[in-house]
Amino acid sequence: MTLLSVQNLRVTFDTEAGRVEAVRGVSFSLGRERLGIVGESGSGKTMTGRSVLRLIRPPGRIEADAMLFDGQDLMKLSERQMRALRGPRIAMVMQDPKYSLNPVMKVGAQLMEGLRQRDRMGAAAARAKAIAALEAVQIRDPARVMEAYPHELSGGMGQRVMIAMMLIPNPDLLIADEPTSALDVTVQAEVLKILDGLVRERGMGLIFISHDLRLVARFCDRVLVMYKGRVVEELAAGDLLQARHPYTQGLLNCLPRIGGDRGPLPGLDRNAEWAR
Amino acid sequence: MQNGRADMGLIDIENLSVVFPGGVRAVEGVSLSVGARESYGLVGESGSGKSTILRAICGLAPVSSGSIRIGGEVLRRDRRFAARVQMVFQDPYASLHPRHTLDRTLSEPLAIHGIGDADRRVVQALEQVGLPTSFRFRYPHQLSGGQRQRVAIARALMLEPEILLLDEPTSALDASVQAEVLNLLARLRAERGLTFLMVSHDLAVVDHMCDRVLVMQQGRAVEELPRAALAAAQMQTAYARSLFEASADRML
Repeated sequence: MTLLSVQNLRVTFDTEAGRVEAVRGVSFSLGRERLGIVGESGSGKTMTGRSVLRLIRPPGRIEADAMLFDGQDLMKLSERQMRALRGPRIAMVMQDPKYSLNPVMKVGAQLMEGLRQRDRMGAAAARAKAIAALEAVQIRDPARVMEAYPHELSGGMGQRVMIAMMLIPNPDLLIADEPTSALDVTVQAEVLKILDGLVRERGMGLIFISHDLRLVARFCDRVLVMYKGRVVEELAAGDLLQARHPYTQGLLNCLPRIGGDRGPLPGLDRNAEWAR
Repeated sequence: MQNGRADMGLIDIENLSVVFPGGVRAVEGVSLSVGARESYGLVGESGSGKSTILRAICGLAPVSSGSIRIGGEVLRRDRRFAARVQMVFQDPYASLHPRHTLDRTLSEPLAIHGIGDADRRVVQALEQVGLPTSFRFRYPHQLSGGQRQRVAIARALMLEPEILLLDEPTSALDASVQAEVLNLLARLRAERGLTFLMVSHDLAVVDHMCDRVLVMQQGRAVEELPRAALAAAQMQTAYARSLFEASADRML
Protein backbone atom coordinates (compact mmCIF):
# COMPACT_ATOMS: atom_id res chain seq x y z
CA MET A 1 0.00 0.00 0.00
CA THR A 2 1.35 3.37 -0.95
CA LEU A 3 1.36 5.90 1.84
CA LEU A 4 3.17 8.69 0.11
CA SER A 5 3.88 9.26 -3.54
CA VAL A 6 5.99 12.18 -4.71
CA GLN A 7 6.21 13.04 -8.38
CA ASN A 8 8.73 15.40 -9.87
CA LEU A 9 9.46 17.42 -6.76
CA ARG A 10 11.48 20.60 -7.23
CA VAL A 11 12.73 23.03 -4.62
CA THR A 12 14.06 26.34 -5.89
CA PHE A 13 15.59 29.30 -4.09
CA ASP A 14 15.73 32.64 -5.83
CA THR A 15 18.72 34.35 -4.31
CA GLU A 16 20.63 37.52 -5.10
CA ALA A 17 23.27 35.41 -6.76
CA GLY A 18 20.72 33.75 -8.99
CA ARG A 19 18.46 30.74 -8.84
CA VAL A 20 19.56 27.73 -6.79
CA GLU A 21 17.85 24.44 -7.47
CA ALA A 22 18.19 22.38 -4.31
CA VAL A 23 15.92 19.54 -5.48
CA ARG A 24 15.49 18.89 -9.18
CA GLY A 25 12.75 16.49 -10.15
CA VAL A 26 12.70 13.85 -7.41
CA SER A 27 10.07 11.12 -7.56
CA PHE A 28 9.55 8.29 -5.13
CA SER A 29 6.85 6.38 -3.33
CA LEU A 30 6.72 4.95 0.14
CA GLY A 31 4.68 2.22 1.75
CA ARG A 32 4.72 1.18 5.38
CA GLU A 33 8.45 0.61 5.20
CA ARG A 34 11.80 2.20 5.91
CA LEU A 35 13.07 4.32 3.05
CA GLY A 36 16.58 5.72 3.32
CA ILE A 37 17.70 8.88 1.57
CA VAL A 38 21.49 9.23 1.47
CA GLY A 39 23.80 11.79 -0.03
CA GLU A 40 26.44 14.31 0.94
CA SER A 41 25.76 17.77 2.30
CA GLY A 42 24.06 19.89 -0.31
CA SER A 43 22.58 16.91 -2.15
CA GLY A 44 19.03 18.01 -1.32
CA LYS A 45 18.10 15.17 1.02
CA THR A 46 16.99 17.39 3.90
CA MET A 47 15.09 19.68 1.52
CA THR A 48 13.28 16.65 0.12
CA GLY A 49 12.21 15.63 3.63
CA ARG A 50 11.08 19.13 4.57
CA SER A 51 9.14 19.50 1.32
CA VAL A 52 6.83 16.67 2.29
CA LEU A 53 5.71 18.78 5.26
CA ARG A 54 5.85 21.94 3.12
CA LEU A 55 8.29 23.36 5.65
CA ILE A 56 10.35 25.49 3.28
CA ARG A 57 10.21 29.20 3.81
CA PRO A 58 10.36 31.87 1.11
CA PRO A 59 12.44 32.61 -0.90
CA GLY A 60 12.34 28.83 -1.26
CA ARG A 61 9.57 27.43 -3.45
CA ILE A 62 8.24 23.89 -3.66
CA GLU A 63 6.82 22.58 -6.91
CA ALA A 64 5.66 19.07 -7.71
CA ASP A 65 3.40 17.39 -10.21
CA ALA A 66 1.79 15.66 -7.27
CA MET A 67 2.58 14.82 -3.68
CA LEU A 68 -0.05 12.32 -2.60
CA PHE A 69 -0.29 11.38 1.04
CA ASP A 70 -3.06 8.97 1.93
CA GLY A 71 -5.12 10.07 -1.08
CA GLN A 72 -4.73 13.84 -0.60
CA ASP A 73 -2.47 16.01 -2.72
CA LEU A 74 -0.32 17.90 -0.22
CA MET A 75 0.42 20.53 -2.85
CA LYS A 76 -3.24 21.51 -3.03
CA LEU A 77 -3.97 21.74 0.70
CA SER A 78 -4.38 25.08 2.42
CA GLU A 79 -1.91 26.08 5.10
CA ARG A 80 -4.64 25.39 7.67
CA GLN A 81 -5.14 21.86 6.37
CA MET A 82 -1.37 21.31 6.35
CA ARG A 83 -1.20 22.31 10.01
CA ALA A 84 -3.75 19.66 10.82
CA LEU A 85 -1.56 17.05 9.12
CA ARG A 86 1.73 18.09 10.67
CA GLY A 87 2.18 16.17 13.87
CA PRO A 88 -0.79 13.81 14.01
CA ARG A 89 -0.30 12.37 10.51
CA ILE A 90 3.22 13.29 9.37
CA ALA A 91 5.95 14.09 11.88
CA MET A 92 9.57 15.03 11.48
CA VAL A 93 12.53 14.47 13.80
CA MET A 94 15.06 17.20 13.17
CA GLN A 95 18.78 16.75 13.08
CA ASP A 96 20.02 18.36 16.24
CA PRO A 97 18.25 18.29 19.61
CA LYS A 98 20.34 21.28 20.70
CA TYR A 99 18.61 23.50 18.17
CA SER A 100 15.23 21.85 17.85
CA LEU A 101 14.05 21.72 21.45
CA ASN A 102 12.97 24.92 23.15
CA PRO A 103 15.90 25.78 25.44
CA VAL A 104 13.82 27.71 28.00
CA MET A 105 11.03 25.21 28.42
CA LYS A 106 11.14 22.05 30.51
CA VAL A 107 11.06 18.82 28.53
CA GLY A 108 7.79 17.79 30.17
CA ALA A 109 6.05 21.01 29.21
CA GLN A 110 7.23 20.60 25.62
CA LEU A 111 5.99 17.03 25.46
CA MET A 112 2.59 17.96 26.90
CA GLU A 113 2.09 21.13 24.87
CA GLY A 114 0.55 19.40 21.88
CA LEU A 115 -1.67 17.18 24.00
CA ARG A 116 -2.95 20.12 25.99
CA GLN A 117 -3.44 22.54 23.11
CA ARG A 118 -4.37 20.27 20.23
CA ASP A 119 -6.08 17.41 21.96
CA ARG A 120 -7.50 19.51 24.85
CA MET A 121 -6.29 16.87 27.26
CA GLY A 122 -6.25 17.44 31.02
CA ALA A 123 -2.93 18.02 32.78
CA ALA A 124 -2.79 14.68 34.57
CA ALA A 125 -3.68 12.65 31.48
CA ALA A 126 -1.21 14.59 29.33
CA ARG A 127 1.50 14.01 31.90
CA ALA A 128 0.82 10.29 32.02
CA LYS A 129 0.95 10.11 28.24
CA ALA A 130 4.20 12.08 28.08
CA ILE A 131 5.83 9.79 30.63
CA ALA A 132 4.66 6.75 28.69
CA ALA A 133 6.20 8.23 25.53
CA LEU A 134 9.55 8.72 27.28
CA GLU A 135 9.41 5.14 28.53
CA ALA A 136 8.73 3.97 24.98
CA VAL A 137 12.06 5.44 23.86
CA GLN A 138 13.89 3.68 26.71
CA ILE A 139 14.43 6.66 28.98
CA ARG A 140 14.96 5.13 32.37
CA ASP A 141 13.90 7.90 34.74
CA PRO A 142 11.17 9.73 32.83
CA ALA A 143 10.05 11.70 35.89
CA ARG A 144 13.45 13.39 36.14
CA VAL A 145 13.66 14.04 32.39
CA MET A 146 10.20 15.65 32.45
CA GLU A 147 11.54 18.25 34.92
CA ALA A 148 14.81 18.83 33.04
CA TYR A 149 15.67 21.59 30.59
CA PRO A 150 17.14 20.50 27.24
CA HIS A 151 20.67 21.65 28.18
CA GLU A 152 20.62 19.23 31.11
CA LEU A 153 20.30 16.25 28.77
CA SER A 154 23.01 14.49 26.80
CA GLY A 155 22.78 14.40 23.01
CA GLY A 156 21.39 10.90 23.02
CA MET A 157 18.72 11.74 25.60
CA GLY A 158 17.76 14.89 23.69
CA GLN A 159 17.41 12.92 20.49
CA ARG A 160 15.20 10.36 22.20
CA VAL A 161 13.07 13.13 23.72
CA MET A 162 12.49 14.50 20.22
CA ILE A 163 11.52 11.09 18.92
CA ALA A 164 9.14 10.62 21.87
CA MET A 165 7.59 14.02 21.17
CA MET A 166 7.00 13.19 17.52
CA LEU A 167 5.49 9.82 18.31
CA ILE A 168 2.92 10.98 20.88
CA PRO A 169 0.24 11.75 18.25
CA ASN A 170 0.94 8.40 16.60
CA PRO A 171 1.78 9.61 13.08
CA ASP A 172 1.44 7.48 9.96
CA LEU A 173 4.64 8.83 8.48
CA LEU A 174 7.80 9.83 10.30
CA ILE A 175 10.54 11.77 8.56
CA ALA A 176 13.77 11.45 10.49
CA ASP A 177 16.58 13.76 9.42
CA GLU A 178 19.91 12.37 10.60
CA PRO A 179 18.29 11.20 13.83
CA THR A 180 21.38 9.37 15.00
CA SER A 181 24.28 11.37 13.61
CA ALA A 182 24.94 13.11 16.90
CA LEU A 183 24.88 9.86 18.85
CA ASP A 184 27.46 7.30 19.89
CA VAL A 185 27.30 3.95 18.18
CA THR A 186 25.81 2.17 21.17
CA VAL A 187 23.08 4.79 21.71
CA GLN A 188 22.56 4.90 17.95
CA ALA A 189 21.79 1.19 17.99
CA GLU A 190 19.12 1.77 20.67
CA VAL A 191 17.45 4.61 18.76
CA LEU A 192 17.38 2.53 15.58
CA LYS A 193 15.78 -0.31 17.47
CA ILE A 194 13.05 2.03 18.69
CA LEU A 195 12.34 3.32 15.17
CA ASP A 196 12.39 -0.20 13.80
CA GLY A 197 9.86 -1.36 16.37
CA LEU A 198 7.53 1.48 15.43
CA VAL A 199 7.60 0.56 11.76
CA ARG A 200 6.91 -3.08 12.56
CA GLU A 201 4.38 -2.69 15.35
CA ARG A 202 2.46 0.41 14.34
CA GLY A 203 2.90 0.01 10.59
CA MET A 204 4.37 3.47 10.36
CA GLY A 205 6.14 4.66 7.21
CA LEU A 206 9.65 6.01 7.82
CA ILE A 207 11.84 8.27 5.70
CA PHE A 208 15.33 8.02 7.13
CA ILE A 209 17.66 10.77 5.93
CA SER A 210 21.36 10.17 6.52
CA HIS A 211 24.80 10.71 5.10
CA ASP A 212 25.93 7.34 6.47
CA LEU A 213 25.62 4.76 3.70
CA ARG A 214 26.56 1.77 5.76
CA LEU A 215 24.06 2.62 8.45
CA VAL A 216 21.28 3.02 5.90
CA ALA A 217 22.21 -0.24 4.21
CA ARG A 218 21.89 -2.04 7.51
CA PHE A 219 18.73 -0.37 8.72
CA CYS A 220 16.45 0.51 5.79
CA ASP A 221 14.46 -1.51 3.26
CA ARG A 222 15.09 0.71 0.27
CA VAL A 223 17.57 3.50 -0.44
CA LEU A 224 17.54 6.57 -2.64
CA VAL A 225 20.98 8.00 -3.37
CA MET A 226 20.89 11.73 -4.05
CA TYR A 227 23.46 13.87 -5.78
CA LYS A 228 23.05 17.56 -6.50
CA GLY A 229 19.29 17.56 -6.12
CA ARG A 230 18.61 14.41 -8.13
CA VAL A 231 18.10 10.77 -7.29
CA VAL A 232 20.97 9.06 -9.09
CA GLU A 233 20.18 5.56 -7.91
CA GLU A 234 17.40 3.69 -6.15
CA LEU A 235 18.01 0.22 -4.81
CA ALA A 236 17.12 -2.33 -2.17
CA ALA A 237 19.22 -1.63 0.91
CA GLY A 238 20.68 -5.12 0.88
CA ASP A 239 22.09 -4.48 -2.59
CA LEU A 240 23.85 -1.27 -1.66
CA LEU A 241 27.24 -2.92 -1.83
CA GLN A 242 26.46 -3.96 -5.40
CA ALA A 243 25.53 -0.38 -6.35
CA ARG A 244 25.91 0.38 -10.05
CA HIS A 245 26.11 4.14 -10.10
CA PRO A 246 29.70 5.41 -9.94
CA TYR A 247 28.71 8.04 -7.36
CA THR A 248 27.30 5.43 -4.97
CA GLN A 249 30.33 3.23 -5.56
CA GLY A 250 32.63 6.19 -4.98
CA LEU A 251 30.90 7.06 -1.71
CA LEU A 252 31.33 3.49 -0.48
CA ASN A 253 34.93 3.20 -1.59
CA CYS A 254 36.13 6.33 0.15
CA LEU A 255 35.12 5.00 3.58
CA PRO A 256 37.84 3.48 5.74
CA ARG A 257 37.17 -0.09 6.87
CA ILE A 258 38.08 -1.93 10.04
CA GLY A 259 40.83 -4.30 8.98
CA GLY A 260 41.21 -2.57 5.62
CA ASP A 261 44.59 -1.83 4.11
CA ARG A 262 45.97 1.50 5.16
CA GLY A 263 46.88 2.90 1.80
CA PRO A 264 45.44 6.23 0.74
CA LEU A 265 41.64 6.14 0.52
CA PRO A 266 40.31 6.54 -3.00
CA GLY A 267 39.00 10.01 -3.64
CA LEU A 268 35.66 10.71 -5.23
CA ASP A 269 36.10 11.96 -8.77
CA ARG A 270 32.90 13.76 -9.53
CA ASN A 271 31.61 13.56 -13.03
CA ALA A 272 29.63 16.51 -14.37
CA GLU A 273 27.45 13.95 -16.13
CA TRP A 274 25.99 12.70 -12.83
CA ALA A 275 24.27 16.02 -12.18
CA ARG A 276 22.93 16.22 -15.73
CA MET B 1 64.18 12.14 21.74
CA GLN B 2 66.94 14.04 23.47
CA ASN B 3 65.65 13.58 27.01
CA GLY B 4 63.73 10.38 26.55
CA ARG B 5 64.74 7.26 28.39
CA ALA B 6 64.55 3.95 26.61
CA ASP B 7 61.47 2.79 28.46
CA MET B 8 59.60 5.98 27.80
CA GLY B 9 57.45 7.07 24.96
CA LEU B 10 57.26 10.52 23.47
CA ILE B 11 53.99 11.09 25.30
CA ASP B 12 53.77 9.49 28.73
CA ILE B 13 50.63 9.82 30.75
CA GLU B 14 50.61 8.25 34.17
CA ASN B 15 47.59 7.85 36.37
CA LEU B 16 45.98 10.99 35.03
CA SER B 17 42.83 12.26 36.69
CA VAL B 18 40.85 15.29 35.65
CA VAL B 19 38.21 16.61 38.02
CA PHE B 20 36.32 19.69 36.96
CA PRO B 21 35.18 22.32 39.44
CA GLY B 22 31.87 21.04 40.74
CA GLY B 23 33.25 17.57 41.19
CA VAL B 24 32.70 16.01 37.76
CA ARG B 25 35.36 13.32 37.38
CA ALA B 26 36.00 13.34 33.64
CA VAL B 27 39.14 11.19 33.64
CA GLU B 28 40.18 8.77 36.39
CA GLY B 29 43.57 7.14 36.66
CA VAL B 30 44.37 6.76 32.97
CA SER B 31 47.89 5.78 31.90
CA LEU B 32 49.13 5.52 28.37
CA SER B 33 52.37 5.83 26.47
CA VAL B 34 52.79 6.82 22.84
CA GLY B 35 56.11 6.23 21.11
CA ALA B 36 57.75 8.69 18.74
CA ARG B 37 56.19 8.52 15.27
CA GLU B 38 53.44 6.30 16.55
CA SER B 39 49.76 6.94 15.92
CA TYR B 40 47.60 6.23 18.94
CA GLY B 41 43.81 6.29 19.05
CA LEU B 42 41.33 6.96 21.85
CA VAL B 43 37.80 5.63 21.37
CA GLY B 44 34.70 5.54 23.53
CA GLU B 45 31.30 7.09 23.90
CA SER B 46 30.77 10.77 24.44
CA GLY B 47 31.51 11.56 28.04
CA SER B 48 34.10 8.80 28.28
CA GLY B 49 36.88 11.36 28.78
CA LYS B 50 38.77 10.83 25.54
CA SER B 51 38.71 14.46 24.44
CA THR B 52 39.43 15.58 27.99
CA ILE B 53 42.78 13.76 27.85
CA LEU B 54 43.79 15.80 24.79
CA ARG B 55 42.57 18.95 26.46
CA ALA B 56 44.51 18.14 29.64
CA ILE B 57 47.69 17.76 27.60
CA CYS B 58 47.11 21.22 26.11
CA GLY B 59 46.25 22.80 29.44
CA LEU B 60 42.60 23.28 28.54
CA ALA B 61 41.47 20.94 31.32
CA PRO B 62 42.78 20.82 34.91
CA VAL B 63 45.13 17.97 35.84
CA SER B 64 44.00 16.92 39.32
CA SER B 65 46.54 14.17 39.82
CA GLY B 66 48.97 12.05 37.87
CA SER B 67 51.51 13.28 35.37
CA ILE B 68 51.87 14.08 31.70
CA ARG B 69 55.36 13.97 30.21
CA ILE B 70 56.40 14.92 26.72
CA GLY B 71 59.78 13.49 25.72
CA GLY B 72 60.46 12.64 29.36
CA GLU B 73 59.95 16.18 30.60
CA VAL B 74 57.16 17.13 32.94
CA LEU B 75 54.81 19.32 31.05
CA ARG B 76 55.30 23.07 31.18
CA ARG B 77 52.98 24.83 28.83
CA ASP B 78 55.32 27.53 27.60
CA ARG B 79 56.27 28.63 24.14
CA ARG B 80 58.44 25.58 23.61
CA PHE B 81 55.48 23.36 24.35
CA ALA B 82 53.43 25.09 21.64
CA ALA B 83 56.23 24.43 19.20
CA ARG B 84 56.18 20.72 20.02
CA VAL B 85 52.51 19.93 20.52
CA GLN B 86 49.59 21.26 18.51
CA MET B 87 45.92 20.41 18.39
CA VAL B 88 43.34 20.11 15.61
CA PHE B 89 39.75 20.46 16.81
CA GLN B 90 36.59 18.72 15.70
CA ASP B 91 34.57 21.56 14.32
CA PRO B 92 36.30 23.53 11.59
CA TYR B 93 33.43 26.00 11.70
CA ALA B 94 34.21 26.93 15.29
CA SER B 95 37.98 26.61 15.53
CA LEU B 96 39.09 29.31 13.10
CA HIS B 97 38.77 33.02 13.89
CA PRO B 98 35.89 34.19 11.68
CA ARG B 99 37.30 37.69 11.17
CA HIS B 100 40.90 36.75 10.42
CA THR B 101 42.04 35.93 6.90
CA LEU B 102 43.85 32.64 6.41
CA ASP B 103 47.03 34.66 6.06
CA ARG B 104 46.56 36.16 9.51
CA THR B 105 45.54 32.84 11.07
CA LEU B 106 48.60 31.10 9.67
CA SER B 107 51.14 33.83 10.33
CA GLU B 108 50.10 34.55 13.92
CA PRO B 109 52.03 31.63 15.45
CA LEU B 110 55.11 32.72 13.48
CA ALA B 111 54.86 36.26 14.84
CA ILE B 112 54.44 35.04 18.44
CA HIS B 113 57.45 32.78 18.15
CA GLY B 114 59.58 35.37 16.35
CA ILE B 115 60.00 33.26 13.24
CA GLY B 116 60.75 35.29 10.14
CA ASP B 117 60.12 34.55 6.52
CA ALA B 118 56.38 34.46 7.17
CA ASP B 119 55.50 35.18 3.56
CA ARG B 120 57.16 32.08 2.20
CA ARG B 121 56.04 29.88 5.09
CA VAL B 122 52.36 30.77 4.73
CA VAL B 123 52.40 30.02 1.00
CA GLN B 124 54.24 26.77 1.67
CA ALA B 125 51.77 25.77 4.37
CA LEU B 126 48.81 26.26 2.05
CA GLU B 127 50.52 24.16 -0.61
CA GLN B 128 51.34 21.45 1.94
CA VAL B 129 47.67 20.93 2.79
CA GLY B 130 46.57 21.10 -0.82
CA LEU B 131 44.89 24.51 -0.84
CA PRO B 132 45.40 26.96 -3.72
CA THR B 133 47.60 29.89 -2.71
CA SER B 134 44.93 32.20 -4.06
CA PHE B 135 42.96 31.35 -0.88
CA ARG B 136 45.50 33.19 1.23
CA PHE B 137 43.44 36.31 1.85
CA ARG B 138 40.08 34.62 2.17
CA TYR B 139 38.03 34.40 5.35
CA PRO B 140 36.85 31.08 6.85
CA HIS B 141 33.22 31.64 5.79
CA GLN B 142 34.38 31.60 2.17
CA LEU B 143 35.61 28.01 2.52
CA SER B 144 33.88 24.63 2.73
CA GLY B 145 34.16 22.45 5.84
CA GLY B 146 36.91 20.30 4.35
CA GLN B 147 38.89 23.34 3.24
CA ARG B 148 38.59 24.82 6.72
CA GLN B 149 39.83 21.63 8.30
CA ARG B 150 42.84 21.82 5.96
CA VAL B 151 43.48 25.33 7.24
CA ALA B 152 43.24 24.10 10.83
CA ILE B 153 45.82 21.41 10.02
CA ALA B 154 48.07 23.94 8.27
CA ARG B 155 47.84 26.22 11.31
CA ALA B 156 48.77 23.38 13.64
CA LEU B 157 51.83 22.61 11.50
CA MET B 158 53.14 26.20 11.25
CA LEU B 159 55.54 25.73 14.15
CA GLU B 160 56.67 22.32 12.90
CA PRO B 161 55.55 20.37 15.98
CA GLU B 162 56.40 16.74 16.65
CA ILE B 163 53.01 15.86 18.07
CA LEU B 164 49.54 16.48 16.71
CA LEU B 165 46.55 16.00 18.98
CA LEU B 166 43.57 15.29 16.75
CA ASP B 167 40.11 15.61 18.29
CA GLU B 168 37.61 13.98 15.91
CA PRO B 169 39.25 15.75 12.96
CA THR B 170 36.86 14.36 10.35
CA SER B 171 33.58 13.69 12.10
CA ALA B 172 32.02 16.95 10.86
CA LEU B 173 32.91 16.16 7.25
CA ASP B 174 31.25 14.27 4.40
CA ALA B 175 32.62 10.83 3.52
CA SER B 176 34.56 11.92 0.44
CA VAL B 177 35.99 14.95 2.27
CA GLN B 178 36.85 12.75 5.24
CA ALA B 179 38.85 10.52 2.90
CA GLU B 180 40.79 13.53 1.60
CA VAL B 181 41.57 14.83 5.09
CA LEU B 182 42.60 11.38 6.39
CA ASN B 183 44.88 10.95 3.37
CA LEU B 184 46.37 14.38 4.02
CA LEU B 185 47.04 13.54 7.68
CA ALA B 186 48.61 10.18 6.79
CA ARG B 187 50.85 11.82 4.18
CA LEU B 188 51.97 14.59 6.53
CA ARG B 189 52.73 12.06 9.25
CA ALA B 190 54.91 10.04 6.89
CA GLU B 191 56.69 13.11 5.48
CA ARG B 192 57.32 14.86 8.77
CA GLY B 193 57.63 11.93 11.15
CA LEU B 194 54.75 13.20 13.26
CA THR B 195 53.28 11.48 16.31
CA PHE B 196 49.49 11.39 16.44
CA LEU B 197 47.20 11.11 19.43
CA MET B 198 43.77 10.89 17.88
CA VAL B 199 40.26 10.81 19.30
CA SER B 200 37.40 9.39 17.27
CA HIS B 201 34.12 7.64 17.83
CA ASP B 202 34.41 5.92 14.45
CA LEU B 203 36.29 2.66 14.87
CA ALA B 204 36.93 2.45 11.12
CA VAL B 205 38.70 5.82 11.15
CA VAL B 206 40.77 4.86 14.18
CA ASP B 207 41.62 1.50 12.66
CA HIS B 208 42.69 3.19 9.44
CA MET B 209 44.87 5.78 11.13
CA CYS B 210 46.21 4.27 14.37
CA ASP B 211 48.68 1.58 15.42
CA ARG B 212 47.17 1.11 18.86
CA VAL B 213 43.81 2.00 20.35
CA LEU B 214 42.70 2.67 23.91
CA VAL B 215 39.03 2.00 24.63
CA MET B 216 37.62 4.30 27.31
CA GLN B 217 34.42 4.27 29.29
CA GLN B 218 33.24 6.76 31.91
CA GLY B 219 36.65 8.32 32.37
CA ARG B 220 38.54 5.08 32.75
CA ALA B 221 40.75 3.10 30.43
CA VAL B 222 39.01 -0.18 29.63
CA GLU B 223 41.36 -1.93 27.25
CA GLU B 224 44.30 -1.22 24.98
CA LEU B 225 44.33 -3.01 21.64
CA PRO B 226 46.92 -3.22 18.90
CA ARG B 227 45.41 -2.64 15.48
CA ALA B 228 45.53 -6.30 14.50
CA ALA B 229 43.55 -7.32 17.58
CA LEU B 230 40.89 -4.75 16.79
CA ALA B 231 40.37 -6.03 13.26
CA ALA B 232 40.37 -9.63 14.47
CA ALA B 233 37.84 -8.79 17.21
CA GLN B 234 40.19 -10.05 19.92
CA MET B 235 38.96 -7.87 22.73
CA GLN B 236 39.10 -9.09 26.31
CA THR B 237 36.46 -6.86 27.89
CA ALA B 238 32.73 -6.94 27.35
CA TYR B 239 32.55 -3.19 26.84
CA ALA B 240 35.16 -3.10 24.07
CA ARG B 241 33.35 -5.95 22.43
CA SER B 242 29.97 -4.20 22.57
CA LEU B 243 31.52 -1.11 21.02
CA PHE B 244 33.00 -3.24 18.28
CA GLU B 245 29.76 -5.06 17.63
CA ALA B 246 27.84 -1.80 17.34
CA SER B 247 30.35 -0.86 14.64
CA ALA B 248 30.21 -4.15 12.80
CA ASP B 249 28.98 -2.49 9.61
CA ARG B 250 32.33 -0.64 9.47
CA MET B 251 33.95 -3.90 8.36
CA LEU B 252 32.12 -3.81 5.01
